[in-house]
Amino acid sequence: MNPIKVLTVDDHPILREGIAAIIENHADIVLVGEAANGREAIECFRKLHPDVTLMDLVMPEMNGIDATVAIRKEFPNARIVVLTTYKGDVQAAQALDAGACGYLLKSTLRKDLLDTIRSVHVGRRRIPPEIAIAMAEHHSSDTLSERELEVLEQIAAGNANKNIAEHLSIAEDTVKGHVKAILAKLGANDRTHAVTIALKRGIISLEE
Amino acid sequence: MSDNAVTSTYVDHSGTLWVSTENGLNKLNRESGTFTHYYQKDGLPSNAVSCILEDQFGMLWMSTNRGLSRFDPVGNRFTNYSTVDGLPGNDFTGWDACYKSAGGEMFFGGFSGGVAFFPDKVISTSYPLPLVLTDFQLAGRSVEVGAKSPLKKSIGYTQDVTLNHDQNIFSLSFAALTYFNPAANRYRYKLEKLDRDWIEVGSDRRVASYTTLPAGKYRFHVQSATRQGLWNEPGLAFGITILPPWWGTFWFRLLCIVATLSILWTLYLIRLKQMAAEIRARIEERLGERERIARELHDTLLQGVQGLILRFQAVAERIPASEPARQMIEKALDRADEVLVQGRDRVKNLRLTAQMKSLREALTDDIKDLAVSKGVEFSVIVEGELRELNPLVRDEAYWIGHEALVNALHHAGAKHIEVEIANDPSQLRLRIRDDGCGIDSKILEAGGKPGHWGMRGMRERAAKIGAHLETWSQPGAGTEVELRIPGSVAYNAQGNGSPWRRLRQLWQEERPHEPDQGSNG
Repeated sequence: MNPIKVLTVDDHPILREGIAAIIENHADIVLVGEAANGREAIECFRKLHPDVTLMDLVMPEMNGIDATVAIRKEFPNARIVVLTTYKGDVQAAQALDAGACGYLLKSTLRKDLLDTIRSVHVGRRRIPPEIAIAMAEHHSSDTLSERELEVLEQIAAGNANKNIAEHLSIAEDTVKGHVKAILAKLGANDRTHAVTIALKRGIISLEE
Repeated sequence: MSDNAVTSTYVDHSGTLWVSTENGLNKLNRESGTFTHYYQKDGLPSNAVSCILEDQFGMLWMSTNRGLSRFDPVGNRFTNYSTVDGLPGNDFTGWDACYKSAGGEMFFGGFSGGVAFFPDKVISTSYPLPLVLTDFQLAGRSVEVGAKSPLKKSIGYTQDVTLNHDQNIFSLSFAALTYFNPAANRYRYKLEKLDRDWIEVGSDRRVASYTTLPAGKYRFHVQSATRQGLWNEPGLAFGITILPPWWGTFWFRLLCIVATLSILWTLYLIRLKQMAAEIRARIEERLGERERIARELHDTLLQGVQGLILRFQAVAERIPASEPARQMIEKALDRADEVLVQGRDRVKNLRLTAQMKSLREALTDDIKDLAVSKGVEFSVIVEGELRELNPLVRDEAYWIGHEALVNALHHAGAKHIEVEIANDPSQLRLRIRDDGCGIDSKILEAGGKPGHWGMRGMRERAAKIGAHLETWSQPGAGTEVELRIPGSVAYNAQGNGSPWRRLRQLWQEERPHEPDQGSNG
């Protein structure tokens, strides 16, 4: 049986080295290439046709979600596992929507890496149980509209309604309406709570 | 004798012998047999005395080559008369040409002609003279009477005038109403508020001129008198009002002062605002710095450690599972994972400040954690409407409050703690009071116990955000820590509107705050 060809995409060389070191120990998996961002990932994929791609989400130039979408468009059978630090259900949902078939937390990388690569390779989907639970919990809940998301980001930046209204060129009352909707959709008690929930679930992130 | 050229002799009613000469008047003193001399320097109009007569009052009248003179032998005083008093001429040196009639009329003759008079009538020339103003000139031109002119009626019928500030060069002419010897009349005038003394002039200069008078109300007084007579008190008065220019009026000056003060106050406010902006900029900078450090930590340290853990894992996998070393390294790596998660959370928190709890929540949670285990009572009071705080300010305020709480619970052994957060528009005030054992004043002065960095740390934090920290404490009486943060620093900016709106905000922010019992969030 041919070894599983793996491509790692992460902007931190030392993390890629770590992954490489683990893969090296196992004969059934072989690391065929490394890329530092989404753009490089697409090029490498075309050249190397890896069986499994480990894709970091936050990278310069092109992020993991965009790269996943691009690769899947060109190679519908590409198997991509998203590597991430945060456990938000929305981020995970985004990744899966983009066509990823696995989700790997960096904190459990050490133990789950090989199993994930192997099971994804045989056609399974791998999602850490905690994220799966979170996704199930929020599955039925309403998603925030684009405008609500903008308002939420402004709240997270510490802006008052008045400022948000100025920033987004809408009326202050409209902002208040959005805030109400956000609180309802997220099940938050107040603005601060809403931001906390949104960060936890990955609706908004600090990385950008 | 003053001279040997005797012109006449006269014996008066007392028998005294008077001798007039071409050079002086002489009086014989019988007791001593000597003469007393009188010259021009003693009051005679001239030294050439021609003829002497005595009137019924004992006054000696004498003619000279410069008019007549009346001598008061008791008061030793000469009064002189000349052509201005009605003499036909001044030279009466026909020598010894005089005569007094039985009726008392006196006759004097000389080269200039003769004169006849009753001595007692001569006195009556000192009657008061009626005075009028005859002309009013502005800048050298007579002012015509008219509706737009300062003179509504002829100057003779006018009591006062009102002039503009640029009409302050004027002159007034005046005259005494008499036809009897007008050239001998005397005048004096003064402008109240300007002239201290009367200015005396002859009848040939009956005009008073004033230039560039400052605005104000003046009063011009003029009096006249005959040659010998008294001044006609009180004389004539004329009011002159010079209006101030528009820029010299009281209201304009007041306006200037108000405007100047407003400008100064505005500058002061702008300066305050600038200082607040500087502090804010510093805070922003620190937030940015913190963000940068967090990012760096995340990107290099955390990711790096993550990679290293993976490499150690790879090494561990090469050790047979049966070896104890394998277990040991696996355990160590498990710990490393935990540390990494903790580190990540910390870094996240570092960047998460903006989304953390409100100051009230944070301190309430804090006090709950700290106090409940010790059975300490506490209360958290919030005054005023809670406003959104600048995240870094809130953090610093929280840490200062936290330190104060720790001091109260761990060092002071307080049984009751009160936290008060007052949200004034002008400032945020945080007070923490306890009933503990207090802090020794020496320690307070020294800025905290050596080695105990709490107090100093609090001060440093307060200074960073431009806040004011005060501590009151007495042994046995508890401690109160008060933190005051200027509103311009503490609260999130309300956006940048038009300059005018900002200016208005500037003023509004400094308005004293009316205490309100608003809800708190």
